[in-house]
Amino acid sequence: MGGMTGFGPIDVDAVESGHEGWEARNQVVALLSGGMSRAGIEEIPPAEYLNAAYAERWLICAERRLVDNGVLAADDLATWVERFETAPDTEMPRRESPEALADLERMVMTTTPMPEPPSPRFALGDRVRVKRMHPEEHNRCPRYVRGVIGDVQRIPGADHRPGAPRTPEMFEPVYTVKFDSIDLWGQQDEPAFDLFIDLWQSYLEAP
Amino acid sequence: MALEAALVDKGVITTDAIDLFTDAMEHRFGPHHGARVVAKAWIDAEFKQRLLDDGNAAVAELGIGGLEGNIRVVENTGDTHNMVVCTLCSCYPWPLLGLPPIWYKSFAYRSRAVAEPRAVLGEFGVDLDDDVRVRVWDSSSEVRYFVLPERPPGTEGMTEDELAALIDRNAMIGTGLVAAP
Repeated sequence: MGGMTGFGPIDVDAVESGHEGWEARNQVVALLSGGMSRAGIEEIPPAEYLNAAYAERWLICAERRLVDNGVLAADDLATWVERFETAPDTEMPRRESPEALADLERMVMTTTPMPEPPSPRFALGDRVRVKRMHPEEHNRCPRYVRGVIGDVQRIPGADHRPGAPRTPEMFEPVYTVKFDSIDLWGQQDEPAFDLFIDLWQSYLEAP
Repeated sequence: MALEAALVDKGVITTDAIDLFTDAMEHRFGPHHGARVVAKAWIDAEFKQRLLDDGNAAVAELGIGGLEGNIRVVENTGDTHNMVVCTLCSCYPWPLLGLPPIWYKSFAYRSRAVAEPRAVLGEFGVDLDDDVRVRVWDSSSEVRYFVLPERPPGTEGMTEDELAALIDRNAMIGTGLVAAP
């Protein structure tokens, strides 16, 4: 989205529509069931993506992935939607697994730091250019920084390259790169500023 | 609702797991934690240094941590103003701030914060002097950025709890300032 125009002013006082838990609960259902992934959200076709609210995008993603993976049948959701609509008293199914809660609690309440980077190619202060590229697969390199030169400001750790197989070769240093707004957008009405973004090593080259 | 019903019915997930996770997202995570961290940093210079050097370890001293909690703390000063965005999705430091507000996930904020931050700040009622350098952090990896706002004047002698009560969510995203009491 970075740098797109035409979305208008920010609704700074907007309040969640599905308040009192439903949005958070749906997100949790999507996360716990393995239905949620950033790649899955980004695979939603652009026109549909832009027309769906944030919570809807999670649901669209979860439903498609779970059906694709054979976890749900294609008509499972429709069946439940119809059941709740025709008989609002329908009880939500319940199931418990108390023996699994301790592991879940640990997972939710534990911070996972990024691992140390394996031999980074670039050093602090190095000039780097974001590669010109046009990948179709999931990636975390926004279009607005591609082709622009910045400075390595920090090396927070390492991570698997998004969208790539989780093999050792795809485990890369991640760099916090600092850009000058003039290099990104040209001279603007407002004073120049600094933009920092984290980029995987394979997104970068020596300028 | 239908998604939960279908998945629980099939035995893919369980109700108690959903309850536990949702309770953490809504109550055990939240801006009350972020405000405690900021208030302590304002009072305790050594804690503030640890927070800036290794945010994860510093907030763990206060028992704070969890999913989406691998943080880096960036400090607002008289000449630097930091603000955080996720242009690709909605990355946000859950343990310290809870779930993001609706505007943080909006196309307007995600598209504009990296291109015209001062215009965006103006819509939040924040008007910075021209000589303040704005730094925008686009959260694209597993690092979650957290803004340590500047302590306002007139708060000398206030307790940590009194200070924490002054600090709201937007100040810790960088779309707000902490007002003097």
